[in-house]
Amino acid sequence: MEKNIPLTESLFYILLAVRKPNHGYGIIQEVSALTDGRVVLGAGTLYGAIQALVKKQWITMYSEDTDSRKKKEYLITKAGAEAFRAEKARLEELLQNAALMEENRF
Amino acid sequence: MIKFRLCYHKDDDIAWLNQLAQEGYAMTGFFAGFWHFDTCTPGEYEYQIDLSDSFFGVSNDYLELMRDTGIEYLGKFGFWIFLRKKKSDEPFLLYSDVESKLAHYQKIRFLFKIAAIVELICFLLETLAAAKGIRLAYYVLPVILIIILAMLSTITRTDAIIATLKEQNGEPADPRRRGADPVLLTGLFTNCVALLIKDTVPFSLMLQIAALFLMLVGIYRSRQIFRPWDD
Repeated sequence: MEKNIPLTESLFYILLAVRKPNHGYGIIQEVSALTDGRVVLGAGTLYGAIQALVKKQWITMYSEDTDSRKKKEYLITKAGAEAFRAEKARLEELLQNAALMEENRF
Repeated sequence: MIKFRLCYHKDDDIAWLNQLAQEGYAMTGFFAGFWHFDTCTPGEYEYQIDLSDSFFGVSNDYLELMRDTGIEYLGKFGFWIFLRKKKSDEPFLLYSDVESKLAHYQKIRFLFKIAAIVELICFLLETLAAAKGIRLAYYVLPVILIIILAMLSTITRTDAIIATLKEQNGEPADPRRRGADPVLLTGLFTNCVALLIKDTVPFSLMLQIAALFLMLVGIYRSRQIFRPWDD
């Protein structure tokens, strides 16, 4: 897992967007909303990321019913959530240490 | 309207398609170098070309994601996927971060390297055929040579794109020398000339031996270019 940390920004937000079942377009919309339009995932970027995350078993296909017309949804797995928390811990350490800069008056 | 154009650098092709869409011609299909166009409102569409995971077919997940994001799937030829979107304020981009752009271009380079190796083997086989006096080989050789040169040019350009992306990503630049090896190219060219003048000039055998030597040295010198497994 160490090798996967730090997460890229895109992966970080994709994992966040599938904390509850979400489909591809829903992920793009949620990430865009969370970042105020700063991170707009390209369709190719998202497709590649989903393929890679499913392969790593960080996210999994989720279907509540067998209705085939329903859009395919994805959901984070336990391994995915662990990776996300490891990244969160790393970011918290960064922020905590960043506070030291306050000692500098400039 | 049907146009013929070989595609060997996707960035050029996208620019070309966008230019034609601006002039009122919207690409609707591609097959083996033939591009099919319908008329459209000038500037109605923006185009993109993507690379598929597989030579055969394209996954339902991919099609669904494209459809949901307002992207029209026009078709697929080999590994290439042709897409378009109604023009909007946002430019139509498939890859939004450096990491995925890098992976995309590395995949393109990998495929071109494999293709270039295959073409090079074809070239050597045709050379043997030409040396045996098979007439057809004389016409095929220059065609293969042009294809190889085009592929090497694509690999070199893709190398430059990858180097820029790596720099943006804060990765160290690749120290290996890249690009088409001049010795190899000279060898290929000399070989063609030697074959063409074979029946008319007495020293063509010497020339051909020199060409073969240059090609072998060239292949040895460019062994780093032909190392797709590094990607």
